[in-house]
Amino acid sequence: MYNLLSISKKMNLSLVQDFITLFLGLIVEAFPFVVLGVLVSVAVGIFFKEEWVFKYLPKNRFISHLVLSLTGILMPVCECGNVPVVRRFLQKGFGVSHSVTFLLAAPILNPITFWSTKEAFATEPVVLIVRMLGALFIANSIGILISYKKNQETLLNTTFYHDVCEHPHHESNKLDETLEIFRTEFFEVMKMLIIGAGIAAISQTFIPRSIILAIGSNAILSIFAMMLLAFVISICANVDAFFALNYAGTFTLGSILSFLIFGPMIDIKIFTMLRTTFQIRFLSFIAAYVFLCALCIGLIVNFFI
Amino acid sequence: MYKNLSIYVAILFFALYMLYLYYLGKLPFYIHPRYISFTYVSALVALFFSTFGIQHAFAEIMQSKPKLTLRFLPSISILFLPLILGFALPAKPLSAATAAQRSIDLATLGGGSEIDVEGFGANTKVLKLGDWVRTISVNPDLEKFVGKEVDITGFVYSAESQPNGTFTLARFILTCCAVDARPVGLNILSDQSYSNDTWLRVEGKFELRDNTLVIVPSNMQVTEIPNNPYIY
Repeated sequence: MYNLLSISKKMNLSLVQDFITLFLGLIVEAFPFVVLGVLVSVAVGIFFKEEWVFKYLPKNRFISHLVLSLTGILMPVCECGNVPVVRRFLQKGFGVSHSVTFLLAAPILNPITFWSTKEAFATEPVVLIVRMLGALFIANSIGILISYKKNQETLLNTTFYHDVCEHPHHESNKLDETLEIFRTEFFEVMKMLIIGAGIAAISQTFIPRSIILAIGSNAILSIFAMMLLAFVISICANVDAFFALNYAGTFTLGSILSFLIFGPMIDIKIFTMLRTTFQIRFLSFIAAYVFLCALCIGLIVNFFI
Repeated sequence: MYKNLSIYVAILFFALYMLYLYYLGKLPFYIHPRYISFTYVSALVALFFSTFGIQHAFAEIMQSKPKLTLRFLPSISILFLPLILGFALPAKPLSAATAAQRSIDLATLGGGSEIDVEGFGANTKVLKLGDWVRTISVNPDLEKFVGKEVDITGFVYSAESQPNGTFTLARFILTCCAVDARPVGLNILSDQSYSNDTWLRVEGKFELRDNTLVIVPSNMQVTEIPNNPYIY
């Protein structure tokens, strides 16, 4: 009896140690990608001019949205970097449909997210392909749908901006500005990464595996669970693949993909930030559209691949 | 202002933590070795920016001398949580407790090339635990392995479905990082009781008992946790 107690005590201590190893592990493996993403934010913050996008945008409806969905290649990945850019687009008279396409595509369709997804899911190339194509499809389709609406300005809400991000002070010289952007981006991304790492580690070590397997192996329930997780956990797209990898052994492939597509597009943080940029009905429409598309993609993957 | 300074300090310590793991050789406990240089470089970049940042924040404080209130502490304290855990506790690879949580999944091994066991002749001792597990998983004919000599290192683990009189010598296999680690192992025929998580070096021979391969050990030695505890 005593032996059983001491063994279980030891197991518990080991589990706590493993929890810490997993927690720190996720942070360590995501760290270089965080730094990379922050560097891109710095470069964009210092050098990018929105005017360039206006000047060089093609006239054709389909091509212009496509080009915009790929502009994310030059952009920061996280919502704290992207949403202000979208707001500046709108303030300067950029079309709503184009802004929405950019907003949804930029976090996923860029080299850093591409690379981290590729690395995390090296053994499962389907994930990278479907994530990229899915994002491309969703961002473009909704943009084109919106572009047919006249008077797109009615979709906007130009009251105060509810800012949940830490923002860099504008400094007089470029060097100080660089430091400011580095600091604010790092802080925002790291905060959510640490919370995410905690959740991932807890679900791996302390939640009974039977529960996780019960939800995770169900083709439909797993998708809903992962999308709920994606909405709640506002982890940045350049490192969310590592968080999702945590669940790859127990959750269906379709649910992982739904997470990877839905999360960077719509989550609590993004929703809060856009609440005062878009009319609430319009924002809900966007959220519902993305949700349904991500759901369908997940279901298709689960049932056909 | 003090908030900014603290954030730069946190970034500095993140960089130092990565470098600490790097120089101690413990990065492989958390990540795949192919990321080591990438992590190292990113730590240097963070080190660079954070030191300049601290300088800048100090200069600002000296200039405007704001009152020190600690109201900013709650929002930045989360940054320091992993730093405290990381520096205060010794780094350890995943243990048997996690092995019990994750199924031993030989079927999905993949990666690595199949090793022609016959071709090795008497020299099979150079094969590592990971090599054996991979080869066995793709070779249904277990007879081929009987009599082959082994010299492997792993951690002790007693699974629930452990055949009588054996324990498992295991390692974690991972594709990218600690989060996707899965345990794999071989059965060792021995009634000597080592506690779980003991790292052992086992020399012996394969035998077939009840249609499963077991290793009959000729020598077992407790070793230290290796610097590369996982199979990739």
